[in-house]
Amino acid sequence: MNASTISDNSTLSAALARWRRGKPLLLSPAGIVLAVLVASAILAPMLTPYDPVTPFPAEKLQPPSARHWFGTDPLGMDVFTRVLYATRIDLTAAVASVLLGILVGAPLGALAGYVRGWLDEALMRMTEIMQAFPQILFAMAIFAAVGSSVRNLVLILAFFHVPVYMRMVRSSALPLRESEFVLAARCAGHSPFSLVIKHILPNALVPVFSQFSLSIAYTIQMIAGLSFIGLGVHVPQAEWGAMINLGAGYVIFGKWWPAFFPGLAAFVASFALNGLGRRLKERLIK
Amino acid sequence: MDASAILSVEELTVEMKGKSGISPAVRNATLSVRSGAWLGLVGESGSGKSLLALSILRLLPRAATMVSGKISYQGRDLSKMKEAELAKVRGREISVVFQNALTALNPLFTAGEQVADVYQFHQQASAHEARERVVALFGAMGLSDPENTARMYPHQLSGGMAQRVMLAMALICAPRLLIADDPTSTLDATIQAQVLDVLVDQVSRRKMSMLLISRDVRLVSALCSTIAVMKAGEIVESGTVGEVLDSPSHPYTVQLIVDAGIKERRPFRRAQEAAPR
Repeated sequence: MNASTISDNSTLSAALARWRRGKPLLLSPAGIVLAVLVASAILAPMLTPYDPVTPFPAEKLQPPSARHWFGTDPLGMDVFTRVLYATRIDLTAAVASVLLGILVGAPLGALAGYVRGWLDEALMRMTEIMQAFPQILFAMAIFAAVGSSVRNLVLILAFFHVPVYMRMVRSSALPLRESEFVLAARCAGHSPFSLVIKHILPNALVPVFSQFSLSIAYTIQMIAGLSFIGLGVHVPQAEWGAMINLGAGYVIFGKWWPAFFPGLAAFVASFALNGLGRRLKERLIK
Repeated sequence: MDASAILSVEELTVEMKGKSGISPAVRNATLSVRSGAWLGLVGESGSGKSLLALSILRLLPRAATMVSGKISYQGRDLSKMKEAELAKVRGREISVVFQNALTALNPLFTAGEQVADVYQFHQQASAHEARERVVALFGAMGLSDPENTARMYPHQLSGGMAQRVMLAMALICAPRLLIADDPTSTLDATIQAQVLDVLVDQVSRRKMSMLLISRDVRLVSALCSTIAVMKAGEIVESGTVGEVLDSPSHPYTVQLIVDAGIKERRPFRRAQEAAPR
């Protein structure tokens, strides 16, 4: 019997082998930009003498200068300082929500892909329902019901990621189901649970790794977007979207810096993450 | 039904669902493996011999369904058994070795881990105990550096090493019956002989029964006591190796014997003591 062998390219070991052959991703332009962002978020207290959340009305809306590199915002807080500190919230919340989404979505996807049948149908219809909600509207409704906080923001964003990863892992679990090593594992008497957890799930994770960085880029934009309309993170907490909101009204008066710099930061972060995601995809999925 | 049979398959029919509709892949197949004896199932690729083997442990691919038939193992009907009960038979009482050992191993775990895993859940052994068993068994399988092999990942193994690992996985729980599905056809000729030697040695030493599936009539006739010939989903002829080879009744069997170039039968050196007639 020639059981349908999955193409060798799609296995995790093949992906890992390709990975080792390539140059370190941190040395790519996107990798360097991200490393700088992360390092500056961690080292923020050492890079700036100002406090990110203490208003100083006497110095409000100062243009960029040697003292305030990115100027000050309408409350007199240093924009450079706040952009650095905002990286902490934006990146952590984005990474946390994506990880949570994967944690829930990936095993469910592997399960659906392995057992098929009615459970698969039910789970897939569920993902369609979840993806049918208009995201911003759904987030607004939830925030209205349970209150707006960073924790709730992370949970809502994770809710959006679950169906994405469920479908992704399911589709890479489908060919694995018919693969010889899964058949051999069944022959050896593995229970369905250990088949899914040990044999299907880990081998179905390749596309998840490449999607990870793209998801984070998307999530940063979602966080900034939601905070811009006043959901999730609130002023004076430093967050890019909330900062843009705070500065947006002053742009027409020529005071562009309180909105521009956090916008630039969000743009650069998303751009770098997208670039990294593209490279990961090229490297892992051939 | 033969009372001394460890495994008997009666009137088994398996259907394949394809683009052009449903077609029978195995038709009314009947065979039995006597306790301690070796049965050789020969036939060309696509004749349905692997499907027959897979249906014994109910491991048929999605497209195939067992439509009728009875499969009894030591008096128990495997075709009616619950999944959970069947999981205890798989690997513990009946083991399977496949053609392509390299793809039959999970690429993410070491060879030792995978074999130890099987021992642990069947025998409720501690991780340490399972590990020791694995290393000892790897040694018995003729792996020159068992400790080291246990730490290797499948992509680091050669085809011959992988097949020895698979054989260890099949034997670690001391099953009574081994289904060997063309276990050496993907290996080089020299490695083939070595692996086959280990297989024959280990299986006969444990006094196990075996269903040996192969395309090689010469091999089967040298090792087994009985033989069944399969063509296009049907068992066209079966009997002791002597009967079938000396006076084949089906033209296909004649063809196989002629193609294999068998003029005079010489029993394999171990076959006599291993497989009582």
